[in-house]
Amino acid sequence: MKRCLVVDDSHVVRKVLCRILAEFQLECDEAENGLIAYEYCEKNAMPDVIFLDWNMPVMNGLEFIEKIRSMEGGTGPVVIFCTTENDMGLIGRGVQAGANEYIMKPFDSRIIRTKLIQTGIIPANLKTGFDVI
Amino acid sequence: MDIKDFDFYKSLLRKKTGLYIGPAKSSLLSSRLTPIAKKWGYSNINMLTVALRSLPEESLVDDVVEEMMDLQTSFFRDSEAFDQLCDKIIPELAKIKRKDDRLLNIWSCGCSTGQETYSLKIMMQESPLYDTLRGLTRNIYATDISREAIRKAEAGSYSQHEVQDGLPVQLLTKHFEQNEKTWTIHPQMKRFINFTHSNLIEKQPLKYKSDIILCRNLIGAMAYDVQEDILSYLAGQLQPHGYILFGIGEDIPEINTYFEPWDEAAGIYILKKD
Repeated sequence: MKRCLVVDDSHVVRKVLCRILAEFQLECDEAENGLIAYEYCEKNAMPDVIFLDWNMPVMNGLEFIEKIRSMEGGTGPVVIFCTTENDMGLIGRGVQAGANEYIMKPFDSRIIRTKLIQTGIIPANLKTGFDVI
Repeated sequence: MDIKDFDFYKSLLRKKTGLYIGPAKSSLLSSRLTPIAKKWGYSNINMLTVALRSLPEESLVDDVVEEMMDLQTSFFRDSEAFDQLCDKIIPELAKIKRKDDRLLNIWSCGCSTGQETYSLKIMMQESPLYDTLRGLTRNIYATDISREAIRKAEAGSYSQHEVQDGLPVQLLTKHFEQNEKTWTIHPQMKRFINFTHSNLIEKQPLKYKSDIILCRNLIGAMAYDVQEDILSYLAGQLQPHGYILFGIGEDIPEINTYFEPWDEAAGIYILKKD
């Protein structure tokens, strides 16, 4: 089972994301800011995919990705920004810093699904509970 | 909506477009038609139906039919099909075309609001196809029955939600211009794309036969008795070496009369050999 880390300071967003990701058969852990996420990555095996908010207290998403990409094994995880920041310039900065994908909130399960397929985390033909909608 | 009225709308849609609508869609139909009734000054759907049953203006009928159509689409919808186009089909056709008229004709049939068409264009503009197609002209002819959809496709402007539905972020920032929450494709990406309003059941012959036809999630939505006629027409618009793409898992019983599967799982067919 592939592992996923959801980094967002909003409890609600983390819960929503984890529910969607579970539907795609991904195991989820949560962190409420970049620093907690960074410490998690130091202590545990690197997750397969990280969903990353931009604006968070203590350590923001951009600082986190810059740090993690220079860690040992830190180029491994697929990092997907998931944030209200929707300015083309900031999207470019995120990608420059090493993000594989970028989701502008609000999102839905369809968008998450395509991003997971395109980054090779799940197969295109994965059947989920969402298919009946 | 009562069954008689529903049947009236069902046959109207069938007559104008060939599309089939099942009774399960009755309440969806009501919710879609309510704003149309308001727009034309009718107090409710019953009044709208009465007007339609008498001698309605053509533009009212068009409005109603337009509202009954499903325009659902997204960028790079069904990635399996795009993978095959990129890895095998287009390189193979490029080889043939290089020895021939150096003109690759693609028909995006039922293009809706243009996402499929621009996905093709973007894919051909990117590595590795950009090099594969060097020196070849590639025309995309894109048609849809919905005038509203064609207008939107021509404008090439999409909401934040629409661009995120299938478009990888690198391609978004490279090929689109942002204006707050609206993203518009760069004008040069519209070159060699011809968006045209066209009704498939009128079976207009194309100026050039197509090397690739994308007709995805359209035939399966048509009434069974219309399907065969349209399949025969499509077969006539395809080059002998051409490929036709249907939607994945579409319900088209007569498909094998005219086409044979090339990659059935991805909905890709070629002309049936005699």
